[in-house]
Amino acid sequence: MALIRRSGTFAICMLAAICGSYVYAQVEFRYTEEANGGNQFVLGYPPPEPVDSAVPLDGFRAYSSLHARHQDLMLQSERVTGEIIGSTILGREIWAYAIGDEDSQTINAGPESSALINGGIHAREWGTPELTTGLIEAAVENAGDSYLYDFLNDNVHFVVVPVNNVDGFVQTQRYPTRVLVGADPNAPQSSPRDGRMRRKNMRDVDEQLATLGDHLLGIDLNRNNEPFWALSASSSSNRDSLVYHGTNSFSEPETRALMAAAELAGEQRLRWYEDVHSFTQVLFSVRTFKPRRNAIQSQLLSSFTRFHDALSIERHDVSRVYPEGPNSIGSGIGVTAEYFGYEYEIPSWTLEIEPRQSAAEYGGLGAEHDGFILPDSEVARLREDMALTHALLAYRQAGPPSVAALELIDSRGTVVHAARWHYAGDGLRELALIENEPLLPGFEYTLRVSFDKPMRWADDGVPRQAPGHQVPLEPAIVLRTESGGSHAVDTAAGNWLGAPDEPFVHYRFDTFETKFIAPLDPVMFESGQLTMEIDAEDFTEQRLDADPATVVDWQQGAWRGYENSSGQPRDSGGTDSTLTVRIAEPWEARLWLLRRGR
Amino acid sequence: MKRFIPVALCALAAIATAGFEQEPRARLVSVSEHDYVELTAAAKQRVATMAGRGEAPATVINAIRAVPDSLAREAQWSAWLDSLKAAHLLDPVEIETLETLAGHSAQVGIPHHEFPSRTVPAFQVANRAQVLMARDTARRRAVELADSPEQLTAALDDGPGSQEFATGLLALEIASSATLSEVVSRYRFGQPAQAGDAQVVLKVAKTDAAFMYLLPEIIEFGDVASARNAIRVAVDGRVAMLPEVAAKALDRPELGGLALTAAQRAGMHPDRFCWGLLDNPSLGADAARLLAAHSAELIDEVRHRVESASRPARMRMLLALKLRDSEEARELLAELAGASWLTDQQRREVRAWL
Repeated sequence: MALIRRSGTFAICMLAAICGSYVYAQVEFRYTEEANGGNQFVLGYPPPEPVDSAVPLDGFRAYSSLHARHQDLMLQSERVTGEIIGSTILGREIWAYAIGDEDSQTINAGPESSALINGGIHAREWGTPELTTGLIEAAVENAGDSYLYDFLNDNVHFVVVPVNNVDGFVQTQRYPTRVLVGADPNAPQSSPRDGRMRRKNMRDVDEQLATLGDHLLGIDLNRNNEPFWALSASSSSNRDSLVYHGTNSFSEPETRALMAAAELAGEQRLRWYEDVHSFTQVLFSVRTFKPRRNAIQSQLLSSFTRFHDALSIERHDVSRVYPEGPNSIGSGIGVTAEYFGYEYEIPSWTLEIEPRQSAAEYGGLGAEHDGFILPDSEVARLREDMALTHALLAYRQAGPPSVAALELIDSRGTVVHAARWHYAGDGLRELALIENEPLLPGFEYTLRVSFDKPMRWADDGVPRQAPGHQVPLEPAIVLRTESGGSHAVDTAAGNWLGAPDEPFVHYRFDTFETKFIAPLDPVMFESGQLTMEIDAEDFTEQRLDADPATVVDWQQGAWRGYENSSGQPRDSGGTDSTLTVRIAEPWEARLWLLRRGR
Repeated sequence: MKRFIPVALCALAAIATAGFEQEPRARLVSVSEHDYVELTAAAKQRVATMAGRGEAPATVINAIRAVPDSLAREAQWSAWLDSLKAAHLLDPVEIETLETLAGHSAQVGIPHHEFPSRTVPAFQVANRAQVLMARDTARRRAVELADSPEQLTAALDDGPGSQEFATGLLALEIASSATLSEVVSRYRFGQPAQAGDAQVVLKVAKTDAAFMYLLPEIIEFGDVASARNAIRVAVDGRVAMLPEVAAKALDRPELGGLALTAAQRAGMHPDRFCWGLLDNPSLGADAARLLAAHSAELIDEVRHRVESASRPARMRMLLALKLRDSEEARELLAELAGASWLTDQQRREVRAWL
């Protein structure tokens, strides 16, 4: 082997010629745009090279630039904090960045939930550090939007590990077009290893591509995890294998760093985990033994799938469906998503980004392993679309919506009735009421109902349905008597507050306002009390928590405190009937009018 | 000789209907990685042997069509598609075959690289056939356009996003110098470029070095993507007007760190141009990175400048010290970590570097 190291490729080729057909020499191949002779994988597009630019561009940034970008955002933005969560085999720092405000409290629901996203665990999957960095960048760029990103900032602790396998990533960028072929234990003739196609970490590996003896080594960090470590034929005990699982679970500093990232996120507060990979455009979800958790996970991923596809069609006129590919319950192969799924009983999956099959989808020629080489021209789109898709996921998994407040305002502009839920601690809210006057039959009122999150998608300041989601634009509001009499408020004439130059409560489109006439039908005021039945969905189709008194939280793989219309804790929500308002009979109404006159 | 094992016999013969496959017609036969390797090698060898014998395209195609085993046949189609990559213009019989293959349903499935229990198509025959057809069509049209300046300019006037425009760019690669000059003459110098103009001029410059003088113009007036590409062309090509390129690039901060790369490659030392960029939102982080890597006076300069600097610039000075990763830099960082102008959060982060 020493001879091979010294004399380079020529000797390797000679060795190949001497040896039999089943022993393959290690030969350097290069990724090229066009065929022009030699050992090549012809992409049909320019092989991407890392670019020294901290700001995003149409292409891949060098790790040094990405790191400078992360650190810069951390220092410049109050919304980003950073922490070293470990160091790599070669001693490089591994950073995690938390996005969110300084406190750990939501606006009105107690402790914040958290999410953890891991990128760059497989070195050659260059799209993933760009995607994860894009999440941080989007949060900073959209700060102060009084909408989605401000909601997430206030209510979610979002932790991103942009590059987990830093050593490996740097190694691939050191050799952006070069690989070695000939020694992979499974596919020696075709499978490119090391250089641009390194997947594993750098344990027992130097950084020289020319030193061939070590180029198959390293640990597959996505086979190094409990609870299914070394339990599957999909990982290997062969050190040369692409999926070598290591000598024991969590043997690698990079996998242990991810556990430290979970601590940074707040293990008790985690609500979802995603490990970003490339490619095949699919969401490999982890199902555990908890059916409710699995169902919630599928709903969440359905939102991902529908939103991203519809967004892509809207923006680029191209469908990009990310279907869910659930695993078999109780089995696994040692990936990080399994660890988070089983350990924390949260939705957890491996995201495989585009392309679906190969770079032929972008006009490429279908070179070996070209799915790992996203063309430069696709990077910005991927980064920007995925940032929005992930914001939507974070929004949804922040929890279902609930009614936060209700106001009734008479024609003079006076608030005659106000109700507001306040967080009282221990997962409970209390209702604060101000009742200045009952409803007077036949009189017009403005009804203003506020929710605890933005409820409609914003499109140039106009509320609409989120891409891929079907939600009635207006909430349904019914006034109901104890005896069952009802009066539907015509909400079609109302509107969500938050258009440009329009006041709103916390966030754009968190408050709906409409006018109505207090019912004149005697049936409606015979008991003097009306229940306000409010039914609405957030823009990901999550229905209201029917009882805001119990704050929704995540517990042991399901929602807690998420009541349906009957007050039963389930995972689907229902109609909120917790608010009542007094209504006067006509004779009493005359007294109120007299009182007003004074 | 590598043995060809009929895959129908050695395949796992599991009919995969992987959950995420979206083609209802596609029913993949899942083969092991080993069998896939055998299948591919045998196919490549057969196609290469036929090509080596100088067989006519039709003969090769008919030979592949006649392969009885559908999996082996698909592998050979894949190898045949590979053989077309280097072809300039395709033979009619090849085009006809590509049209057929464009509707091909994948047969051979291999384990997904991450989750081997899932099966994914091995060869992407249909996609690749479509790409080769599209490239051939574009090349043929490009030849026409290159020979007709009027048609070429009309195609380029179709604007970015259109097929004609893309083909027009391709035509520029094979157009004569006279045609390139004619195309360039339509460009409105010294004014913001219209959509597509910068792409056209950049393509001309990349095609013929005589037009490299246009790069600064593209950087000054072109769309952001073209301007960035122009910088990359200038930097990679080490063109003579790199100082001018760098100057134009530095005047457009939205182009990002490439501007600094250009300046550095133009021979400007980072100490000359980076200190003043530290408070620039688009260039500051890159300026800090370059100073960390190259400034001999980094420690002294930071000491001298930090108190009077703007808030963003101060942070970038700290970043430069962090990225310098030296004992001296850490000492200064430790000192500055106590500065009153740091927020508590920033102080924590700076101390985490020590």
